[in-house]
Amino acid sequence: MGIGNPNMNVIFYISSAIAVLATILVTTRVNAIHALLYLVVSLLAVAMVFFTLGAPFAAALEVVIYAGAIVVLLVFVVMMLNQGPVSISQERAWLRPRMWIGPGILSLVLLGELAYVLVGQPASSPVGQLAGSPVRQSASQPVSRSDQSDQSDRSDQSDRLPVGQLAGRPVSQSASQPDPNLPLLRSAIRNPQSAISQSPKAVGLALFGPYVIGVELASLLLLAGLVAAFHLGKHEDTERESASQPVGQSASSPVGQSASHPVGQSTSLQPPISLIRNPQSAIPNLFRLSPDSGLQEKEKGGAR
Amino acid sequence: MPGIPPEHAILLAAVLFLLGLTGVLVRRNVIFILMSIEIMLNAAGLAFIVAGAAWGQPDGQVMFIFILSMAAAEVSVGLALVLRMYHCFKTLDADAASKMRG
Repeated sequence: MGIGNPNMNVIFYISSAIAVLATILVTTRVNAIHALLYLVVSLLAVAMVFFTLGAPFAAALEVVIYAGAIVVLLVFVVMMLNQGPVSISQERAWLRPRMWIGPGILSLVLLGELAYVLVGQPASSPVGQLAGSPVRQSASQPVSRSDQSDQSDRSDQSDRLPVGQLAGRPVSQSASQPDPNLPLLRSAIRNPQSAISQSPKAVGLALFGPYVIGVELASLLLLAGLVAAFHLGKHEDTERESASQPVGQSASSPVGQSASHPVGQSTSLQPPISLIRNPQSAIPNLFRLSPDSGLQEKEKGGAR
Repeated sequence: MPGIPPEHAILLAAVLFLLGLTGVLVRRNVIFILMSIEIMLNAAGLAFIVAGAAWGQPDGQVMFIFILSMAAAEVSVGLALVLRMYHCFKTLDADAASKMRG
């Protein structure tokens, strides 16, 4: 089925294989930096898939934001925490191969079922109609690289469909006579503007036209993420200076500090190096203080 | 989407999503869990792109942009939580934070 347009199809399948392989390697690496490198490869392969699907703007966004910004954030945190052999041995203990034989076989059976449903389905079901039809619609786009051999090649696949004779028609006919069995696709087929609707201009018009409330919600989400990252990422030394001492004395000391430390006032002067020696002592302190409010968590850093 | 069947592209999105879900379920390092969540979000965006390309509408790419912004916000908050957790527990093991003694 990929013979008609060799370039785009071959690129699509190669990049899909690269994406799947790189993602498998991401989930099985024990070193975080190796996994991040494979993650970059996977995201780039998915960007290539976007490009072959006719969405170059999404491909550029994928490269810039996913493979650029997000992965750089992850690399930054991994380099800053500087894990080392402890984490590697810990993850390796979880990734023994014999542990994964049973779930792997079951997941492969599920994947085979999904592949059978999506690809090998007899086309009498509505899934086959819905899935097989948009190819012809997109093949009628002028920007597509499909040629006549692609059309003839695709017709033998879709002859199994009840609407199969639609595929054998020339492009202009199928564009002018949409099949009534496909009500979802009718407007897109009829509309000659759909040929250029994948362009960044159309995306921008749709984004700031009917989806402008979504843009506002996304901006609110980003603002919330900024504030939350700023609040959570503040270091404890700066919090100790900023947190006022009487509030921490009244609020956090009787609740959290009395269990692990007998005197709450004197423990506020202890450096957090005690947590390094005994990390278990931090667990009840954190979770006793956390249900109250975000202010309490700040006081925890001050009282510690 | 010239010449590419949408079933195959949706299948690719499903495979990537399942790999990400597997990573979330099997890894114990919080960094790997965050990476797997990114893979899952990316697969969801791929499904939107495939649907938008199949119908010839720009809505799929609009939804992909929303997913992208959500992933950016999520990874910033998640990495802040990772730093916080590392300062508290001195480890990135997700099991270290499993003792919820409310």
